[in-house]
Amino acid sequence: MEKQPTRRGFLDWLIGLCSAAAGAALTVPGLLYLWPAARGGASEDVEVPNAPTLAPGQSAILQVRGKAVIVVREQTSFTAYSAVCTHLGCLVKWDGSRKEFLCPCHAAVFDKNGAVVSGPAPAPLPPYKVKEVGGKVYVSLS
Amino acid sequence: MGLSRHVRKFVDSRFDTETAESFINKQVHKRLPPHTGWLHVFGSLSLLLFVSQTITGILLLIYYRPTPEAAHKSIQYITAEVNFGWLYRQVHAWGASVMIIAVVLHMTRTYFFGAYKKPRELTWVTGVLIFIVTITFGFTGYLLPWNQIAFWATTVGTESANKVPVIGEWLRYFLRGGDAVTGETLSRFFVVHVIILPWVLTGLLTVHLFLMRATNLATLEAVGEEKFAPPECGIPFFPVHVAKEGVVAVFLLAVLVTLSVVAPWEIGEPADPLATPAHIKPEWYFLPSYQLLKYFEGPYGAFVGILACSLPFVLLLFWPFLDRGKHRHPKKRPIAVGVGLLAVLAALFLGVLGHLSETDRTIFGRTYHFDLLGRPHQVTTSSDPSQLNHVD
Amino acid sequence: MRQGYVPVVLAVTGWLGLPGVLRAGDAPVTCSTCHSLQSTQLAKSIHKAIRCGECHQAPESYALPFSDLQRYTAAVAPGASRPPFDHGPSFAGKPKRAKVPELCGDCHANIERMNPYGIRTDQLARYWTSGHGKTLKSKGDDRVAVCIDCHSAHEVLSGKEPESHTHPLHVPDTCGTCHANAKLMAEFNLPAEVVDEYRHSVHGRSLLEQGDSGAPTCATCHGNHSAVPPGFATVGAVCGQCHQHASDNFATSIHATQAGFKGCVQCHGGGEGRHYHRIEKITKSTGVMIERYTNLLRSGTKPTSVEVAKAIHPDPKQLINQVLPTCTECHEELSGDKSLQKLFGLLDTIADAERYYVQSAHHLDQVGQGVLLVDNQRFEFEEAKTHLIALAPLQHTLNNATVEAEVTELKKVCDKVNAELTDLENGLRWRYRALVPIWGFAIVFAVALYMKYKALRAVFVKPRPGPLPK
Repeated sequence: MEKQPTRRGFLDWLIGLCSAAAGAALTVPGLLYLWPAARGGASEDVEVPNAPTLAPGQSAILQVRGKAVIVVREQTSFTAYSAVCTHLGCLVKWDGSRKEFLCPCHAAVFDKNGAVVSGPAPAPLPPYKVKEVGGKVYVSLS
Repeated sequence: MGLSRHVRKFVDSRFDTETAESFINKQVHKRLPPHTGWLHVFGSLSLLLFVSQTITGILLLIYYRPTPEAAHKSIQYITAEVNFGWLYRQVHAWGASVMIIAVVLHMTRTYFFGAYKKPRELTWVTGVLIFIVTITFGFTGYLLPWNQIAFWATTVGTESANKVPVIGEWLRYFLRGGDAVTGETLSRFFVVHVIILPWVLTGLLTVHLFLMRATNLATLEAVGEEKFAPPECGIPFFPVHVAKEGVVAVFLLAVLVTLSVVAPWEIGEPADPLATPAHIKPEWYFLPSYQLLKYFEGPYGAFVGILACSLPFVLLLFWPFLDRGKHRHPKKRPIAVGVGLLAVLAALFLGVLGHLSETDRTIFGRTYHFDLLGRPHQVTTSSDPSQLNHVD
Repeated sequence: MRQGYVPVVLAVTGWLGLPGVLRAGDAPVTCSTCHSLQSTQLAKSIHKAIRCGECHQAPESYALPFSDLQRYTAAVAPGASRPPFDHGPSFAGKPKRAKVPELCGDCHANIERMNPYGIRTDQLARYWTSGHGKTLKSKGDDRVAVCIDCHSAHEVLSGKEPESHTHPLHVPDTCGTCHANAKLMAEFNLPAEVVDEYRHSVHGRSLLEQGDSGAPTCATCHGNHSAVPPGFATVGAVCGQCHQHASDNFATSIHATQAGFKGCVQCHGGGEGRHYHRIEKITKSTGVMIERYTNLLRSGTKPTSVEVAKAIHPDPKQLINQVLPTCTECHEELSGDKSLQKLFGLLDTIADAERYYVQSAHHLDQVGQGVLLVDNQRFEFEEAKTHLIALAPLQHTLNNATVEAEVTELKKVCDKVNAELTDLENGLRWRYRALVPIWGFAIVFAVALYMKYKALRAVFVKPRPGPLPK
C-alpha cells in the first residue's frame, strides 16, 4: 500500500475520531435494538403477572394487545374474559362471594361463564384462552 | 503484531495470495478519469443505500411478522417497544424512496454523459435491470406493513396486471396468490422482497460493478476517439474518490436520520378488506405510470395503456443499441439530450398530475378541483358536499 | 274469496250437472263469506286456530239456499243496511265492551287452557287492579280500555311481531289513542299531555327515534294489564328496576327520608307545569364532551376552567334552572339555603371531574395522533371513564364526601396517564434535539473528509497536460 507522508496530522486524527464515533453511533443503537424489549413480542401470549399468588376466587386485570382482560382463579384453574362490559365499556369487577362479574356503572351482572345474568348488558363477555405452562399462566391471543 | 505476522505466514504458505493481493490492490488504487466529479457519486450512493436497506431490513426482520393478523401489530411493536425500532423502521422506509431517487439520478447522469455507449452497453443494460429490481423492491415492500394504504395501493397496483392481454387474469391471480389481496399476497411479496430480490440485485450488482470496473468510467470524448490521460492524472479510487464519496455518505446518513425524525412515516390504520378509503394512490415513484394509464380507456385502451407504460422501460433497456451516435458530450448530441429532457419532464409532469388528481388545491385564493385526469376545475365556495374532498 | 264467483261457479257447475260439485241450493256458508274482513284479520292473527263460534257462540256454517245467499251478500247502497240474518239461537253477537275482559278471560285466565302455550294467566286478575279495571268494575264506565282496545278484536298479534299494537315501538301510540285525547281525558280528570311529554323524553326518543325496543314504554313503568300510575312513594322502585345504582344511592340520601318528596320525578320529572313524563337526560356521552372541548380549543384562546365546564356541559345549568322551582317547594330561600349550596358544590365537583377527564382525553388524542403509540395509556385511561360514568348515579347520594372520593380516584388515573404522555412527548422532543449534535458532527466529519480529499487529490493527481477536450 502506498503510504504518503502527510503534514495534516490533525486532519487524519480528526477523521479517525469521527470514523470511530460514526462507527459507534451506527453499531450501538443496532445492538440495543437487538436486545429483547421488555414486553413480549408481537404474537406472544401475555403472561398474567403474579398468577400463582392469586387465591381461589380472586381475580386480576391485565392488558392483552390493548384490551382489558380479567383473569379469575377458580379452585385450580384459571378463566379469562374480556373485562369490558358489553353495555357501555366500563371495566367489570369479579365478586368472589357471588361468583359473578359486576359492572360498577349500571349494575350489569355476568355469571362466571361470562353470560348475562341481569342488567343492561346486551351480550355476554367474550372469553379468552388461558394456558398454564411451567407454573406460569398466559392469556392467549387467539 | 506478532499475531498478524503468524496469520500472514499461515495464509501465504497455503494459498496464492500474490495474485489475490495484486488484484485487490489494483482495484483499490484504480485510477478514474480526471473529470470524475461530484456528479459521479450517485452510483456509490445507490450502493450505500442498498447496504443500508439490507442492514435495516435484516434488523426489521427480527421483529416483523409476515401474516395479516400480526404484521401491523409487529410494526406497532417495533415502533413503540423495541429500542430504536422507530429509527430503523423510518430509515428503511425513507431509504427506499431515497434509493430510488439515487438510482434515477445515477441513470440520468449516465444518460446525459453518454456513458452508456460502446463499450459500456451491457453496463447500462444491467443498470436498467437494477432500476427495475429497485422499483420492484419498493412495490413488494410497500405491502408489508399491512395498513390500509398498503393494502389498497397493492390492490390497485396488481389490478393493472389484469389488463395484460391473454394472460392478464392468470398473471393477476399468480401475483396475488388468489383473486384478491390476502395473506397469500403478503406471503408472496414478503418472500420476493426479503430473499429473491436481494439475491437478484446482488447478482446484477456484481455484474454491473465488474463491467464498470472492466471498462472504467467513461470520458466525454466520442466513441473511438477516447483520449486516455496518463495514469498520474487519473484519480485514485482509494483514497481520493473514496474521500469524496465519504463526504456524500456522511450527509446521506444525516439526511436519513433527519427525515426519520421530522417526517416519519405513519403506521396507518390496519388493513380492512371491507373498507376502501377514498383516493387511493400508489407511492410517488409509480405516479407517472399510474397517471399515464388513466388516459387509455375503452376495451383496447387498457392494453394500449400497458404498452405505453412499458415502452419507457423497453426503450431504456435497449437505448444503447438505438442510439448509435458516437458522441458522448451532451453538447454534441442535441437529439439524445432533447429526448432525455423530454422524458424527464414528461415523467415529472405526469407525476405531479398524478399527485394532484382527485384533490382540491387552493392557488392564489381560488380553489381548484383536479379531476381523475388531472384537469383543474374551478370550484365555487358553495355548500356542495361533493366539493368537500380532503386535500392530501 | 270474492262472493261474485260463487254464484257463477255454482250456476255453471250446477247447470252442467257435474258430479262431485255441490249443487246450487246446498252451499254451506261460513262466517267468512259475509264477514270477510274479520276472518282475514283472524287468519293473520295469533288466534288463527280459533273458530268464530268460540267467542261469538255461532255454528260453524249455515246451510243457505243460493237465492238467499245473494240477498245477504248483494251490495247495498251507502247508509242502507243488509237484511238481518238469523245466526242461530245461541248467537251472542258483538260482545258488549264491559263484558270483553271476562270473555277473553274465559281462555286467558284458564290455567289448563293456556298451559300448552306456556302463557301466563294472571292478566285478568291484574286488569281488575288497574285503573281501567277498577273504573270499569266500580262505575261500569266502559269508555276505559278493555282487551280489544290494545290487542284489537280479531287482529291479535303477539307483542313480538313488529305490526302488533302491543309491540314496544307501538305502545305509546296504542296508549295514546285515549291518553292523548284531551276531550276524553278531561272527562276523567286526567292530563292528556303525558304521551307528548314521553315522546320528548330521553326514553321516548330512545324508543321512537332510535328504535331501541329495549327502552321503557308506558307499559314498562305503569305495567300493562295492571296499568296504574305509581305513586310518588314507589316511583323510585319503578325507576330503580333499571337505574339500580341511582335508586340505591338515592335511598341513602337525605331526600329519601323527606315526606312529600316526589321520588325520582321530583327532579327528573320535567319541571314546572309538566306531568312527570318528560324525563330528560343530563349526562352526555364522553365522546360528545370531548368533541365540545376540542371545538372550544379551536376557537383560539386558552379557556378558563369555567369556560371549559360551560362548553362541555351546558345542559345541567339549563336543567338545574328548570328543576330549581321544584326545590323551592321545600327550600324556600334559594340563595341562603345551605343544603342547596352543598348541592351546587357537589355539582361543581362533578363538573370539575368532567373537565379533568375531557382535558386528559384530549391530551391522549393529541399525543396519539402523531408518531407515538399510546395504546398502553389508552388502556389505563379506560379506568378513568369507569369512574366518570359512576359519578352520575353516585351523585344521588347527595353526599359530597362520597362523590369527592370517586373524583379523587378519577383524577389519580388521569394524572398517571398525563405523566406518561408527557414522558412520551419529552422522548420525542429529545429526538429533535438530537438532530442538532448529529448535524454538527456530520458537518465536522464532512468538512474534514473534504479537506482530506483536497489534500489527497493534490498529492495523487497531476494536472492533465494540454487543454481538456470540449
